[in-house]
Amino acid sequence: MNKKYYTKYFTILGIIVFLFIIPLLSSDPYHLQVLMVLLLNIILAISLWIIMTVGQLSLAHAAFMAVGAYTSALLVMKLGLTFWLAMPVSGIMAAVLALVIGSITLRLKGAYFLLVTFAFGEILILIFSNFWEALFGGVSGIIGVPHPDPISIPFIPKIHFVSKVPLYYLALSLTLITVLIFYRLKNSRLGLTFGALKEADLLAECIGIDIMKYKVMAFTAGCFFAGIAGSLYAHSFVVVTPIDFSFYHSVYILIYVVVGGESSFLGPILGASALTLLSEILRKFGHYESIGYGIALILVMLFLPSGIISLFERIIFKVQKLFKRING
Amino acid sequence: MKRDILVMDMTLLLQVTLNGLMLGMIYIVVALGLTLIFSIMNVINFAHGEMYMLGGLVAYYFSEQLQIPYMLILVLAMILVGVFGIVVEKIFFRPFRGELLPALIVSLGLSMTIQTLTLLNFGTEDQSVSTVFPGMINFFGALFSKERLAIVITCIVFILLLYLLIQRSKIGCAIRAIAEDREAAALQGVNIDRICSFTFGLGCALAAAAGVLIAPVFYVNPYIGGLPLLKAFIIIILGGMGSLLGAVVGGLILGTVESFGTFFLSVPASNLLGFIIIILMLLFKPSGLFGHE
Repeated sequence: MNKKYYTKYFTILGIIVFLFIIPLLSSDPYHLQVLMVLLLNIILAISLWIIMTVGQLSLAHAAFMAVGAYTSALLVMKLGLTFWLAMPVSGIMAAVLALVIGSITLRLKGAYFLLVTFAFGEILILIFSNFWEALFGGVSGIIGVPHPDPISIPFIPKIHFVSKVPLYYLALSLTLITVLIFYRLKNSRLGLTFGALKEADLLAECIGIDIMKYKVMAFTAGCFFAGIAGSLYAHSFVVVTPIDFSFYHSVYILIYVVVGGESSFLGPILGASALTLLSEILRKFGHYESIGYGIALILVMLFLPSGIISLFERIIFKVQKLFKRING
Repeated sequence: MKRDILVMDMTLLLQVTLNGLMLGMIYIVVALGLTLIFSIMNVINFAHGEMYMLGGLVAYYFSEQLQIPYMLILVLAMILVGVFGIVVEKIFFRPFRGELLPALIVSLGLSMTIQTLTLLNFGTEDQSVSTVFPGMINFFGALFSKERLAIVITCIVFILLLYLLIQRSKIGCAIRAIAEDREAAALQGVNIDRICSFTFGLGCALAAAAGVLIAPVFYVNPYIGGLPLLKAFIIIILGGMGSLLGAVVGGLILGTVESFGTFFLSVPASNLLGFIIIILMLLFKPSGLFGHE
C-alpha cells in the first residue's frame, strides 16, 4: 500500500472520529439537531445516487421516505412494536413498494421516468394527507411519535434515547453503515454493472445483462434506505407530516446529488453536507435564504457543471502538478 | 318534482362543465408554453409557473395602480415577461441546452429566486384584481360570468394564433425543424440560438397571458405559480411531451375530469384521479396521446 492510500484512510478516519466527538465539544441541542438533519440528508442523497447510477432520475424519493416514516410510526404507536423491529420493517415496506412500482415503470427512461415518479410521489402524499384520516392523521399527520426504546448493549450502560446526544449517535451509526454498504456496492461487480447501464444500456443488454433486473435492484435498494431514513426521521423528530415529504423535498435530495457531483461516490455526501449547512447559515436571513440557495444552485451549475466535487478534484490535480514540477 | 331535480342536476352539470372548460383553457395555455420549450430544448422548466405568477403580478400593478385598459395590459405583460424569458434563456439555459438534469436544477434555482424576490417586493398577501367584464350570462339555465366567457374565448384565440404561427409561418417551420432534429435543422441554416430564444420567450409570454387572464377570477400572490405548473405537467404527460395538439386535448380531458371529480367525489379525490390517469397513460402508452418517441 503506498503513501497516497495512507493519507486517504487517515483523512476518512479523522472525519469519523471528529463526527463521534462532536457531542463532547458542543452539547447545544440546536447544533446536534442540524447535524442529525445533515446525516439524514446524506443517507437520502447516497440512496438516491445509487438509483441514479443506473441512469434513472427519481422524484419520488421523499415519498418513499414518507412510506418508511408512516410505517414505522404506525407500527410503534398502533401495534406497540419496538422501534428496533419497526425500523427494518419500514425499510422493507418501502423496498417492496419500490419493487412493485419499479418493475412496472423502470422501462421508461429520462424525462418520462422522472415524471412518472413525480406523479407517483404526489399520489402517495395526497393519500397520506387526505385519505384514511383516522390512520394517517390527515394534513397535520402523526404527532407524538415516541423516541426509540432504550436498548442495552453488553459492556455499555443502558442507552435511553431521551436527549439529542444518543439520537445523534444513532443517526451517525446508521449513516456510516449506509455509506459503507453503498461504498462496497459501488466497488463490487454489481456496482460496475450499474455504471454500465448508465453509460450504455443498449450495449449492456447486447452483451447479455438483464437491464430490467439490475435497474429494479438499484431502485429497490435505494428506496429501502429512504424508508430507513424515514423511520429514523419519525422517531427522532417525533412528528410526521405529509408536507415534509412533498415533491419539493424529493427535489432537494436530487439537488444534493447533482450539486455535490453525481459522477463520484463522495459527491452526494459532500452535496448533502454543504447544502444543509448552507441553508442553516442562510436561515437567519429569513426570505433571503431561498434567494441565496437558488443563486447557489444556478452558480454551481453554470460554473461547476459536474458538481462541487470537481472543484476539489481540480485543486488536487493542480497541487499534484505543482509537486511534480518541484520534484523535477 | 322528480323532473325538477333532474333539470336542476342538468344545469348543475352544465355549470360544472363550463367551469372545468375555463380552468382547462388556462392550464392549456400554460402547458403549451411548457411543451414548446421542452420540444426544442429538452428542458423541463420548473420556473414556468413563475412566469404565470409574474403575469398576474403585472396585471395587478397595471390595472390597480395605473388603471391601464385590460387588453393593453395583456399585451404589455406578454411583451415584458417574454423579453424577461429571452434574457433568462440567454444567461441561464443556453449552456445546458439538451441536457436534462443541469437545466432542471437551474430552473429550480430560478424558480426559488424569482419567487422570493417577488415575495420581498410584493408581500405574501392575496391581492385581488378587479374584473373588466362584470355581469353574468344565462347559458341554458347555467350561470356563467361574462368574464369567464371572455377568458375561454381569449384562450381559444391564443391557441389558434399559436397553431397558425407554428404551422404557417417561417419561424414556426424552423421551430418544428428543431424539434424534429436539431443537427439537421442547423445544417439547413436554421439559427438555433435565435429560435431557441424566441421559443423560450414565446412560452413565457403564453404563461404570462394565462396569469393575466385568470388574475381577476382568483387572486394574485407570489405562490400562485405552483398549481398551474403541476397541472401543466400532467397535461403534457397526458398529451405527449412536445406535442401541441396533445397539450390541448390533454388540457380538455384534465379540466373535465377534475371538475366532475370535484363535483361527484371531493377535491383530493379529483386530484388523485388526474395523477392516476397519467400513471395509466405512461404505463400503456408512455409517449402520451399524441407524442412520438
